[in-house]
Amino acid sequence: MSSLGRFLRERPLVWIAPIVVLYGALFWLALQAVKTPSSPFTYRVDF
Amino acid sequence: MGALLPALLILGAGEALLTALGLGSQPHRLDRGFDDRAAYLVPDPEVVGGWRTQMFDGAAPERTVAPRDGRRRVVLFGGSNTESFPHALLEATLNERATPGSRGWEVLNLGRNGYGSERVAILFEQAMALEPDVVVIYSGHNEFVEAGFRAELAEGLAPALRSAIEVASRLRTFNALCAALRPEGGARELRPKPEAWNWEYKRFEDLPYDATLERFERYRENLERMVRSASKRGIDVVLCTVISNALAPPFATTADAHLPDADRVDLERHLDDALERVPERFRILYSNAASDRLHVNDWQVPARLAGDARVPTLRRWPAPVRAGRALLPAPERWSPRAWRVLAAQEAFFARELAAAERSAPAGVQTACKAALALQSDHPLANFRFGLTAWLLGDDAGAVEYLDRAARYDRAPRKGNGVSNAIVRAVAPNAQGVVRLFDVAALYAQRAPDGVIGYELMKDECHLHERAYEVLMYDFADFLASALPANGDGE
Repeated sequence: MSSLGRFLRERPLVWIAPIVVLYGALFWLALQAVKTPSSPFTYRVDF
Repeated sequence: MGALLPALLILGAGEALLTALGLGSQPHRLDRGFDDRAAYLVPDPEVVGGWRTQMFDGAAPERTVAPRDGRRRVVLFGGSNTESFPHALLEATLNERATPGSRGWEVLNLGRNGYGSERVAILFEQAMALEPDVVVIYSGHNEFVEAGFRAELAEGLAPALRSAIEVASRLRTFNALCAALRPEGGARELRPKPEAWNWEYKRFEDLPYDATLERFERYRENLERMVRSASKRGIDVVLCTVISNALAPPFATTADAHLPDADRVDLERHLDDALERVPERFRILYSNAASDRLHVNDWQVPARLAGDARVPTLRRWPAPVRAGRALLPAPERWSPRAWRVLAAQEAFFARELAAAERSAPAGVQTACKAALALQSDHPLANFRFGLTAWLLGDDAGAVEYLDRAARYDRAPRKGNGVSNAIVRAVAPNAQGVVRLFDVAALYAQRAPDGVIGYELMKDECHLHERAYEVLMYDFADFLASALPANGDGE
């Protein structure tokens, strides 16, 4: 426990960076997912 | 790995917390346009208590709904057939037949072309605000039309991004984020995505039949959801089976993936062989090529001189459909393809075989049998076998195999035995007042020889305009008898 505590204390960038990257990626993906598509979805007739 | 541990612990804790709070369980779906928060109906800004749709995106006038009055309000739901229903005729007919002093009827039409049961169900829920007394659901042709549109919506994203979102949607954290980020806007500005005509069905060519049936299970669930919603409000429900053209060939007819390659090649060869053996003048009926299919536009070409071409004779239907050409537009409006199909249909139903053609059907049937021996549920093999059974005088065999062809279609663009069986099963098992109007059975019974063809239908699922009028009289008969006026004055 003490080694984990020391790690968290002494190397904050090493463990904070993955959190920022993970949540940043999820946030960006969620933004893309909810974005209204821009394509017109018009007629497609292939006969 | 140690560096990732805090991030994973926080993510795990977040997931546990969201689970405890019951949040983020609904996976974010990429089929945008099927958002139940999109407003299909909004209050009419110009009429207090009135409503208007926002479903047509300029392709057709939006429907307006007057404030509720004392009449019994019937709301029609479904796809393009329903949209084409002359609902004013239905309303007038019901009112003509209403007993004096009764409340009378008001009929609203909320059909929208392309809508399958997914969007009908979303619209249905929102339309409860209109306080209907009776809801009529005529839906079943568009399950794969809608699924195609849905897939197209999802394809608005790059494949890699789409895959990443699909993986991420397994996390509650992600789904909760999506829910929080979705455009709110009171949902009134959020409109359902417009969909125009979509004839593209190649995406379903390799669909396994299990997946087809799975899609029909969604149809069942959507019907059940609508029935439950109406029943808990005490609204009468009329569930309808749908009319389909037995002569329209199946759409997704590729051989099953589990078939060995050599058998697939053989099957295609037998099908080609069958087609080649069909006498030339019947061949357009046997073809499943897109260029040989009739479309609604084939009956509304700009008027032109018909010349001195003989107009094909059409089978007479019994009253009230009457028949022959009575239901069709004037021949001047038919496309050359419609002329060819009707000429082929005339000879087909007359079993008109010239001396040189008499041996052909047996050869076609042999080739179809060879194809069916390789895959008994192959839609096109069943279809060609069914047509040939007719030419050989086997009426019952024709009905059976044409039905099989439709039912085994991997992506039908018309209701079939599967979808109609679902309607027939849902109606009697539902809670509340749910009535089955078996339109498909009624028209199959009326159809000469039990085979519905182009004298009633424009294409695989749409009726000729005047046939809709006959159908409205059928609906009036059904509604007036199934929902008699004894509820009046309530």
